[in-house]
Amino acid sequence: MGKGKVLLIDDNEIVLRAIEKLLIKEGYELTVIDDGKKALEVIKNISFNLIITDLRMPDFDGIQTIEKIRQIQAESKSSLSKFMIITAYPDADVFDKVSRLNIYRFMIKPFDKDIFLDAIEKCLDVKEGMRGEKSDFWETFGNKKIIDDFIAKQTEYNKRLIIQKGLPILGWNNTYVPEEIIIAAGFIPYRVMGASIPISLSKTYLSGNLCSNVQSVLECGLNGDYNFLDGIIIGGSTDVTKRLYDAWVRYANVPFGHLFDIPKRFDENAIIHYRESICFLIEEIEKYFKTKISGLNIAEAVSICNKSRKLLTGLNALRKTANPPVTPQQFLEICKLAMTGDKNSFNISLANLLDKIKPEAGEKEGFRILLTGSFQDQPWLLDVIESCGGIVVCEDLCTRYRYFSGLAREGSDPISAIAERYIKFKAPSATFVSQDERAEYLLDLIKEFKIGGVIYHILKFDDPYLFEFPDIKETLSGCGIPVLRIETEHNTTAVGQIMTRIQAFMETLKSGNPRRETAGCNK
Amino acid sequence: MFANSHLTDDILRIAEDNNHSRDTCSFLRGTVGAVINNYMPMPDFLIATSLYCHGSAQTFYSLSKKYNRPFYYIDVPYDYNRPYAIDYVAKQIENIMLKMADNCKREFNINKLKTAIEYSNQARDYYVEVNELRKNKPTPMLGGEAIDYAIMLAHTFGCKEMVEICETLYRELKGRVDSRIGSLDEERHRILWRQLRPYYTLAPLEYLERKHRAAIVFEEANHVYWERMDPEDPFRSLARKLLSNYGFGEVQRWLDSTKSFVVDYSIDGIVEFAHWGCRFLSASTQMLKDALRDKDIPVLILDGDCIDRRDYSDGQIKTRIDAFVEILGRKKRLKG
Ligand code: SF4
Repeated sequence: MGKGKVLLIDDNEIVLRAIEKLLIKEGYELTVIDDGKKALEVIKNISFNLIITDLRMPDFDGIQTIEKIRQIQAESKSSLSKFMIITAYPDADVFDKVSRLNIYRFMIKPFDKDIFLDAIEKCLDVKEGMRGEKSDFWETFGNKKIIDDFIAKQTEYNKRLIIQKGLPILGWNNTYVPEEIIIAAGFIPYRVMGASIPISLSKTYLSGNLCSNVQSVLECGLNGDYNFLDGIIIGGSTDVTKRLYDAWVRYANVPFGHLFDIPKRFDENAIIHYRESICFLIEEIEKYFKTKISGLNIAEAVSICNKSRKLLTGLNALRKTANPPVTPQQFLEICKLAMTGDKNSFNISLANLLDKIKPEAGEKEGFRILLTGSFQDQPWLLDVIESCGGIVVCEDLCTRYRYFSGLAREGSDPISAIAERYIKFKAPSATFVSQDERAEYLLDLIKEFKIGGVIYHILKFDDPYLFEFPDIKETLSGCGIPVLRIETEHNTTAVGQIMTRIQAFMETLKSGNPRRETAGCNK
Repeated sequence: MFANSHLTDDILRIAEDNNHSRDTCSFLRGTVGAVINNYMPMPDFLIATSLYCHGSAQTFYSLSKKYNRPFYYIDVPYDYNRPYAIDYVAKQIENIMLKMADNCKREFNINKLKTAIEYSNQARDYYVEVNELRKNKPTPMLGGEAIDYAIMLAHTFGCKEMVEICETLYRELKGRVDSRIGSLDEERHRILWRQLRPYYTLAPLEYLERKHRAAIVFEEANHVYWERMDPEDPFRSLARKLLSNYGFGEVQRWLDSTKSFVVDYSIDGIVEFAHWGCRFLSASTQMLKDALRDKDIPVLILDGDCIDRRDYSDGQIKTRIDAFVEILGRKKRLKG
């Protein structure tokens, strides 16, 4: 007898023959079939340890095939097979459906021969293999693999949205721009961010002593990286972003541009102001795109955005544990995906992912770090912190917590509800004149996430954070919380120097043993 | 004030030692240092607006906590043309004035406000005339003298004394214009000055004017951009004044006014002293340069700091001015 009985179903003759050759050589008893319906007949007579099926097939696809086979096997009380799906089209929708099937493994073609053989071997090695799907593909590969796969699929899906260009896409730059209105208009909100490229074009329009992230965003705009956008909404949160708007609409060739005015204090005036800014945005979108945005559309959009926020908050909450199942690098990517694509699909996929993530046992080595400050969207800083012995478990950043924190009230008067959310409920950024409120909320995060040290990251020339830092440092230090300030540029940073400073910081943490217990603060 | 008296090195250093970055505006950093060093009198309250820079509001907020004094903030919408804007700002001004009076244990007297607005209007009218006279050739007043009026204007409009100062200045310039007395023996070029100046030295302005005979005939900071106010509608008038600031709003608003100065004051070139820490002013500089390209107006940007003299290089600044004046001369010769 061979290593196990395998049924291979694929309508592509070339794939069929290639896998057939490989598995027979490895000693498996193989049956090959080129369509799902025929497979239903075959399994009535033969018990297979493993059934490998293609996903996209005419008439009867891989998912239908699996469901039907399971039904037949259950009714006939015959041995249950394990399943593996192989596909060349891994979009988010498919991924959702497949993940609900609870199969052994999902692989994307073309795949590495060794990984494929290894997966089959492991599958058939399981003693109870003939009795069911004991080892599902989530368990086999752990949280890291599940999350990485999610990121890969969703990235692919978001990319495809741009290429296929079904719905209009509106760019936005700042977490105070209400995505709700973009969604209510029937568009896809897409956050514009800079890239790790040298600044050259944008120097013509913005001076060198301005925040390098803004320069980098403009550089990408001038480069044509955002030519797929149907318009751009720039949140005027600082003196510089207002000029980013001017430069973008003057020189970056965009059909529709709008500056969204953002107040700077958390008071009742700010809510009036913000509400007016929303109304202005609605008027402008309606006028330019000849559309109508109804209250109902806005209410629905509020609920969609809230859903995303709840899911991301749920994922972030897992990082409060001693051994966070999601890495900071993964969390960054997931937040970026939330900001650059269709929220409905993202919500479904993320809900599914959350169902699958399992708590990690034990305790992760390293000092628990809160990263706060300026815009930050690059994994390198997280890598550096990790390599120095820190684990970033929470980021008070506009690309993370400050993006998804705080829900909007659902129900009547959705415009006011949105205004209240952005002014009252969302975690504040330093672009508000609010050092005290910011320090207080940072202390809450420090407690919740059991933080041992804070790394305060400032992008060069980013005024709100430069001005805020002395007050925040004073309050946190007064509460016994170690704070390290580092300064970088979005594109060019001497990583070595930053690393040395972080290493030295970790040494001070070591000597103070602030690992799990955060100093209490009665301030 | 501190820069003129060379106390700045000390106050800037103390602020920097207290975590205030050298990349921030030295006006604000210096204020913090002066407070730390106890050079400032205890305020009754602190007030800031959202007009211009974000850093000033953050600094004043922070100082209000240190002094344990109230912080008042006027939020001026960037969308200055929106129908709600005037009433929105007016209401805040009114509320703040009432709070200020309360805080100082005084009764709020609307008539005093009306009188201040009346004085402000009178001073404004003279100053508008002053700016009109400065369009004359030869210029009746040099930038080296005029630029510091900008600071005074910002602080003293509404006082009776300001009316007298503006009237005296107007009469003086009127006399010079009527008698065709120029400020320089020869006026080779006419310059528009953007932003402020280094307050520890007048050297760049004097070098331009005295050595090269390039007269600074107008400074953006001295522009009277607001209309007369209505004393019977004081809060809305003040709101209108704030909202009409052309430095606020889309960059085109600013560029349009700069272009109009170029025409009105027969400008040959623009010099900007780009204060290092000011994002608000720096952010429009390059776009202005670009917009003036089609007008064939050379723009010289002198990077520096209004307060912090530690990195000031007299020689470098003079070399750049020499090269700029050379360009102006060449252009003039080409035009014949
Ligand atoms: S110079 Fe610029 S940054 Fe400094 S206080 Fe004035 S507006 Fe603000």
